[in-house]
Amino acid sequence: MRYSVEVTGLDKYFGRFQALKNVNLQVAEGEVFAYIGPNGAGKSTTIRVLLGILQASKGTARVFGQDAWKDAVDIHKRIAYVPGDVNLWPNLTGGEVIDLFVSLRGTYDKALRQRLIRDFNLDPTKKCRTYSKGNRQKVALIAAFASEVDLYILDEPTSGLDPLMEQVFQDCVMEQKNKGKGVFLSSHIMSEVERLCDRVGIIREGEVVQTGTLDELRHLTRYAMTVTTERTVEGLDKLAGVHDIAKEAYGLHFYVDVTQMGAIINHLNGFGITKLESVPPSLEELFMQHYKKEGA
Amino acid sequence: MKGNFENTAKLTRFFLKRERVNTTVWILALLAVVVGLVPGLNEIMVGEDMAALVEMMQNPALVSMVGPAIALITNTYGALYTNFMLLFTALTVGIMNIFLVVRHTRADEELGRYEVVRSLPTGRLAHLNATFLTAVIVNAVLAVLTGLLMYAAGDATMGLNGSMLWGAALGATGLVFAAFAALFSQLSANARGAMAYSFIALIVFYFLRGAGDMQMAASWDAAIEAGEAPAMHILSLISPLGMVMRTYAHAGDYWWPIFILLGTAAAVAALAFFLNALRDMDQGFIPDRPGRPEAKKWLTAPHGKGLTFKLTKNALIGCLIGMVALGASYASILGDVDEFVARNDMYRGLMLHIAGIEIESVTTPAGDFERINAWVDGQIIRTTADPEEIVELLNYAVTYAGFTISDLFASMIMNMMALMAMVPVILFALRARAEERAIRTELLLAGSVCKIKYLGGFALMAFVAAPLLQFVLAVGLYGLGVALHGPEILSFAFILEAAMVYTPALWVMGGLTILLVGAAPRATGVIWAYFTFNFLLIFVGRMGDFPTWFQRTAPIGWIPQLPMAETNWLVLGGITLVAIGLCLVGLLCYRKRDINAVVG
Repeated sequence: MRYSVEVTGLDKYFGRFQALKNVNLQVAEGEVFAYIGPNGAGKSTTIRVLLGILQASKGTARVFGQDAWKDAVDIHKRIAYVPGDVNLWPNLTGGEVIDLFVSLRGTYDKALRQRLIRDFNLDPTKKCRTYSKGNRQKVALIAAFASEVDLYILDEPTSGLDPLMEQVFQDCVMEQKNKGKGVFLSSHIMSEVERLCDRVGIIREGEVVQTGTLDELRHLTRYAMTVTTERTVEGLDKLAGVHDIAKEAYGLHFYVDVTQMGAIINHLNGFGITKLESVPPSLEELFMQHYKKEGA
Repeated sequence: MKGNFENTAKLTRFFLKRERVNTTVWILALLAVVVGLVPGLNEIMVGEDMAALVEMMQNPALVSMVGPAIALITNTYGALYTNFMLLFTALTVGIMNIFLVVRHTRADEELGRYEVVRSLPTGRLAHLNATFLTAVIVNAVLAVLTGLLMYAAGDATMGLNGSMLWGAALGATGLVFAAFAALFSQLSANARGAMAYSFIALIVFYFLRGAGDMQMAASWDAAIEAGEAPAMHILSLISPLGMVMRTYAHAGDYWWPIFILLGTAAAVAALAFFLNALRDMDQGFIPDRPGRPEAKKWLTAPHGKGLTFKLTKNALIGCLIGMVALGASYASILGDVDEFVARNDMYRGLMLHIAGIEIESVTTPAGDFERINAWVDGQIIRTTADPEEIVELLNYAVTYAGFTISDLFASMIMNMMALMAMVPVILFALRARAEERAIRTELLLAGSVCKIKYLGGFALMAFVAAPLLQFVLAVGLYGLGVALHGPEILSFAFILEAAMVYTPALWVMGGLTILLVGAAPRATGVIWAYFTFNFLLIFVGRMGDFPTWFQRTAPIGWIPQLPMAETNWLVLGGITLVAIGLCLVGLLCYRKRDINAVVG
């Protein structure tokens, strides 16, 4: 398999503070990868190392097989970057900034640029100082998607967009995905991640704690179960992998570890199941568990 | 309308706290110059030279720059000091106030702070009111301190009344421009516009009074001799910068202009308050013009070079105009400088030293004056028995050496002007760091941009600016000098060479800045300390001679002052190489370092 992003054993120190601890990541070509974690976990630091703006203290970061630091200029011809907080030059217009960014990457498709400006509903004649946060973000997004590149590195790119523009953004990402382009997306918006991403990496306090597809991640967590039976269930609390049992009016409610699912169903069968509901955790809950783990 | 000013007091206290460094530095710097120069200029001016200086203030070119010849009214040092200093100081106080007010009004609004303040239980006009009160307090403090300290530092011709009037004149002018800045902060929809309109107003007022003062320059002398109170032209009086001179501080001490200035400030401020109450937040009365929907081709030049040019272009044009004006302003006094220089011991000595001439006063055995001999290379070139002929003698001697007195004077002040040119050169190189601080650099470097070439763009701008600035300085000095006083007064080749030799020193400062940006981004402020060192070396260096090795610790100490020293191309070439070396090391360090290493 060919990887667009390959990070091995990456450490990053700012003075004595260690921002990244032995980060390992692999993103296949054409894959949409979500990089999520609480604020200050090291998402942006990782991205800046990938961009060759920060130098790794230890380990390697490779993009398209090239060294992110040494070959930055070459790599950047094939990537587009959108930060979460876009700072622009107050006396340039949005249109000028878009052209500047696109031309720095190389390719330029004027029709595509016009279409994106229309889709994102941006007035390119206004000076950047008059733009709101959302509009500045649009400038960076249009400049990114108007460029013909192989990998999009997006760092919380929609934090200032309204739901309508969020939709336009998701369409743009899907379009690139269908074209076989890769996306490295850091985001706090779980619906966005759920809809767009093939794989997810979770970082907490500088360490990548989990990577995998959404299904794989779900397997590591608890399902919520509600069950009603003919006879009163006994001995459930003695079983391994059962948590937080509560007796509700509509039946018995509890959480189970996915790995113990079979044994628990077998046990319940002995009491005559009349109704059984099993709900996978929402992405939100999934992340809450990971974010809070240990530290909480 | 009840509660429009709610919580003004608390906001004012908060604004003063925000100003505790910025404005304190402004006030201290102003006091240092205004009060600090009182004894220093006294030493230079008072004595037999004063008559020449007072005479010189009548020169229309000088009147257009510093105001009417107030010195003529009383012929005292106090009046001469007001004549020299008041207008420019008032102008500077005006600039301080424009910065202060725009910072707290439009800039705060643009940054979203105003919104937060408005969301608190504060009155609709409290923010503007507190800003204006802050300006009132700042100007009052400046006025009182200036008055008291000037009185303490001055001689007998600088009375308490006149000194306090001086301070009040500064404070009142400051408030007028604070009010105008508040007004333009309502009219324009952004801080940049508010700043630009305020400065245009300042410049228009300056030229308005210049035009008025010039009209009166011819009749001024006659009026004083006739015993009449000298009048000022109406064009001067409708400009606050003309009105401030009408105080005739230390030359009659009139207080009524102060009240007119304060009244103007109050009226303009009232208009600003009215407009502020009328408009919505983030809106202005002058609409923002739409810009280009697409970039011009040059803006998208590779490695951010087009952008770098765009970011520094206007500043460069402004500085070039400033350097022409600086050169031209000195040119305007050249005609009168001959006599002044010839009469002043210090300048005459320096001048003769520069020209390689010694003057010997021969006395009779009884101690009476007999004659003056001028020597060059052990040969007497001229002898005269008339001490009044000394000006002519000096002229003759200097001409013998192949120059004019104006040439030499221009060369002497060249190092001060080169210091001025140093500022933009440093600023262009520092711009790279400013961009990084504003978190815009990474947006560019995320494109296919080579870091060395990116920073190199700023270095290039600084390195190209240096000779340009020196060149236009020479052109301004020569151009206006010749236009005003005739072609024989200056030699262009000489002036040009005297100016251009400073270029390598400017390059060293630019290269050093790039080195700091590349190797020690957190310590870029050090360059200003080093600049100050250069500055002090030139200023203090005039009074006492420093050992050569000490002068050589600053780049400007290496530059020959023509024609005292000859242009040594080897030395200049060496300095240039040092500058390039510093720059290259800076670029290499920049390639190796993180951009904006912030935790997160």
